[in-house]
Amino acid sequence: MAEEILEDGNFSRPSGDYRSGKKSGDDPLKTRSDEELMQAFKRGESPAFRELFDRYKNPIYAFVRRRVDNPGRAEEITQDIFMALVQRRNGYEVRARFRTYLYRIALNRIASEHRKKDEAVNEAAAPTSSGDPSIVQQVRDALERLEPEQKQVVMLREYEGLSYQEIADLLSVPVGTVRSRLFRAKLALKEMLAPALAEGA
Amino acid sequence: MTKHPVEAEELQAYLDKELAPTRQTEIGRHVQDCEECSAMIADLQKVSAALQRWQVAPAPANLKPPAIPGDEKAERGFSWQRFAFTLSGAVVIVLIIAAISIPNLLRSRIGSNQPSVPAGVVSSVQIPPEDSRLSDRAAGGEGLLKATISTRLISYQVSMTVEVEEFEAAKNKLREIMDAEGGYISSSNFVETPNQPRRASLVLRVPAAKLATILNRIRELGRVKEEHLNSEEVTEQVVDLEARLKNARATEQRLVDVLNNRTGKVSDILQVEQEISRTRENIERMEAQRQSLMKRVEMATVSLTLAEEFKAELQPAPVGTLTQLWNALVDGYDNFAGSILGIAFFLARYGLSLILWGGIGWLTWRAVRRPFRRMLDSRN
Repeated sequence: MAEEILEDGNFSRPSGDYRSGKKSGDDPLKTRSDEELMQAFKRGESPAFRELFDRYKNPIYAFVRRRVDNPGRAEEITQDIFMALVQRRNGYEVRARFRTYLYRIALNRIASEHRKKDEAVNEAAAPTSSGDPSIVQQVRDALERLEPEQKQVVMLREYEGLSYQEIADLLSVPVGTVRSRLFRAKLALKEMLAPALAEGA
Repeated sequence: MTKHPVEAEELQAYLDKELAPTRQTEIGRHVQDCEECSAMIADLQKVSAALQRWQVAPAPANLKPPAIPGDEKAERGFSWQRFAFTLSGAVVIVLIIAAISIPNLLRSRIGSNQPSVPAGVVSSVQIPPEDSRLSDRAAGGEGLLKATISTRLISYQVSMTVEVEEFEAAKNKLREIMDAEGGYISSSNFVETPNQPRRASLVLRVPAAKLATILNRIRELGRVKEEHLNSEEVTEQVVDLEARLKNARATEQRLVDVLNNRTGKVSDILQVEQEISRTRENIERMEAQRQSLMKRVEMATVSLTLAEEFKAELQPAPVGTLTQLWNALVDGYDNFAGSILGIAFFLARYGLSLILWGGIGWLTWRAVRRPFRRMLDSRN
């Protein structure tokens, strides 16, 4: 069970996990794609929504948690995102990929959260001054120091496991831009994390 | 970098398997040969590995899916909304059925202003209709004898007790009635004792022809507690008197004739004169009797008792704390019952309207709610 949770928490390649990973033959819901479930939910099948919620509650929570420090607040925002999904179910189009739709809602919600808060408080509060920063802390600091566009792309790729195309759709930029931003982010991170990487190696 | 057949950023895409399949194999081949490129790939992988060190806890177990509007039934076994709907629906149906099947129940208010007639009390006495014979008789005169033979002469006596709220006003009103209808108060007894309702005993004489009208007007003075009517037929008495009068007058006439032709002794004459005066005395007595009888027929007698409504004067005795407490409890209960009754009356009076307007309001709210939320969302 613990392994399963860890697996859920680690979304480097979620597409495999969530589409076909957990088939339980009896329940047809488990075998349906996200898009099919969303269509079913639009038609009023609420069990379809609960299946989607089960599939995405951990990814979305992690997505929020990496962008909002307060766990309680993160939980509320996660709830908000799914609420917004319920309310905007009629805006979902057949052609759209479900993940893109969901993450766009999530991104908007995070953006409004950051607008609400004083940016100085939110960003500066990130503990950059801890005396003996762990590798995780160094990673977080390095991400904070990236340009916002690069940070956005690298996090969506590394943590949310979105494809280049999905990121491009989400941010409304060409795929090439996604590729170059990602590469430059990686290079920048490499420079910033050089000491830690050497240590780790 | 120009010596490489690949662009640097393609290496990241290669790692992410985001290149076209042919390009993917090309670069794979190149990387094997190119130390620089494989070193770069190793670095990129290290960065990714470092990034993956930042993991967060899974979502808390208490994170629940949001309620789906329109799906409350599935979420909760019992819905107050549904319950209220069913209840009000049932109430409406019952009311409609009631309104259709027993309209009188809904329409007629229970009158509380009309005087209630206590059982056992005669509320009205049947008075023979005011017929012309009575008026004829009341007129009196010579044709009376003829009339009395073919009709009946009846004398009426009515006794009644009327309870009134305003004693003085009732007495004044009574006088007005008497003046207007041609009757009079033949006697009046008025007694007032402290702490007792006032009473007046009156004997009224009213024209028999107007008896029914007058009785009706007296009844309007207040509440009739008692009413009795006696009628006495005096036809035979009158006829008998008339006959004896006729005889006496004939006797008188004969005696007068004897006196006029006086052929006898003085003593005889004196005797005749005595006889005449005795007969005349008889005639006068019978005449008075007849008059009295005719008066009784002409004017009915009403014995009326006017009673003031009893108003008890309470003498408040000093009350103990327990009594006060008890009274407070009783008052409290009264208030409680009263407020429940009040709510019941309110619902009876306005319940239907409330259901109607509540329903309209609820539908309006439903219609407005979605656009309103959308507006809020778009603002966010």
